[in-house]
Amino acid sequence: MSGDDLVEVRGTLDGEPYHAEVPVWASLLDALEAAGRPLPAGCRGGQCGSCTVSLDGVPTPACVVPAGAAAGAVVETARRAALPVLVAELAAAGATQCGYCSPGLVVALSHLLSTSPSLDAPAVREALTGHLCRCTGYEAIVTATLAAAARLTS
Amino acid sequence: MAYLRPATIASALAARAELPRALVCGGGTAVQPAMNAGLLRPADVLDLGGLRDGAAIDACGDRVRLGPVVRVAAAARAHALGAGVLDGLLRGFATPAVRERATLTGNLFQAPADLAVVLTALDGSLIAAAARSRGERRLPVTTADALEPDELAIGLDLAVPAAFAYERLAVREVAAPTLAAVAAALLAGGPRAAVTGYRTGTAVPCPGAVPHLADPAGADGFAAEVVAAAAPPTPYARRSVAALARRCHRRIHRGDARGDADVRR
Repeated sequence: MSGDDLVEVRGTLDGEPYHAEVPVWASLLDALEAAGRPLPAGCRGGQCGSCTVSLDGVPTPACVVPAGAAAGAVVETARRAALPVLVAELAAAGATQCGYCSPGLVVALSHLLSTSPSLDAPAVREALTGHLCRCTGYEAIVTATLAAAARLTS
Repeated sequence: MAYLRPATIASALAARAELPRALVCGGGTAVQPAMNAGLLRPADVLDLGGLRDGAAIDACGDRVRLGPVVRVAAAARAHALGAGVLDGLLRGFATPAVRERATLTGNLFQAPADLAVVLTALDGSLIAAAARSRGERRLPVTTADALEPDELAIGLDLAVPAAFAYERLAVREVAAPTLAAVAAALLAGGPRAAVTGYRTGTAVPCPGAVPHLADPAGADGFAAEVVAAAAPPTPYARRSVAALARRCHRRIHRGDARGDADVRR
C-alpha cells in the first residue's frame, strides 16, 4: 500500500498529541496501535468493551469508531480516565483477575461515577452492559463500584 | 482514497455527488465492525458524523423531524417523541456505549434494522435529498436501499403518538438479536402497528389503519392481524408473536403505555 492510501489521524491521547497513518477503513483502535499505544482488542465489533476509551468525554469502544472520525478528538485511556478511588476498590475487592477487560470497564465505570455519583447496583450493571468479563462473574466489580461511589459521596 | 467528514448537510450532498460509491457512515457502529472484519473495503468513506446541522430534533405539531446523525441515546434523552417512546427500545438495542454513537437514520441501512419496527409504527419517513435536486423526497423507513446513488438520507420524519408500546422477543434483554418485535402507536391519523418478520428482523408494516388496536376489547383481533403480517414459521413462533401483540395492546390501553423491552422465552 502506498503512502497515498493512508489517512492521517492527529489528536490528543492521554493529554499528549499523537499521530498515526492508517488505511481509510481503519478504526481508532487500529490508529492507537499504529501510534504505539495498543489497547486490549477483543471482538472488534463493539460487543466486548475491552477497547473502551473516553472519546471527547464519552466512553466508546475504539473498535467501532472510524479512525478518521477521531481526528482532532481527545482520547483518554484508563491510564488517564481512571478514578483512583475506583481502581483502589477494584483491587481491594479482587475484581480484576486476568485484567484484559479492566482498562475498558474502568473507563466506563469512572465516567459513571463522575456523572452519577449516587448509584445503585442496577445502574452499575447497566453500565457494565457491553463489557465482557470471563473471570469475575461481575459481582466483585459491582461491589467495588458501589464502594467507590460511597467513598466519593462520604 | 479519501476519508471525507463534511461539516454541513449541503457539503455532504456535494461530496456524495462527487463520490457516489463512497461508503456512507453515520456513527460507524455497524460499518466499522464490517470494515474490521474485512467485509467492507471502501475506496472512499463519507463520514456524516461531524455534521453540525445534522443532529437537530425539531418538533412541529404532532410530528418530529430528526437530523441524519441524531444518536439513538440522544433521541431517547430528548423525549421529543413523548416520554417513554424510545425507552423500551433502547433497552433492547445494543449497549449503552454503542447507543451513544449509533444513529437512528444509520440503523435503517443495516440488516437487520432493529429500529425500523418502531419507526414504522410511528409513521416514519426517511427524508432523502441530492445536490442536483431542489427538494426532498420521502421514503418508507424500510426502503433505505431505494436511495439513488447521489442521494443521502438527511433525516427522519416521525409522528408523536398519544400512546406507544414496544415488545421484543430475544434470548436475553440486552445485546442479543431480536427474534421478533411488535410496536404499536395511537396517532392523530389513526392507530398504527408494525411487526418484524420472525427471526428475519425485517420490518413488515401492518396495514396502516389497525382498527383493533384502537378498540380496548380488540386484543385478539389485533394479535391476529399482527401474526398475519409477520407470518411466523412455526406454532411456537405464532404464539410468541401473538403474545407480544396482546401485551402491546394491553399497554396501549392501560394508560401508561411505555416502550418496554420485556424478554420472555
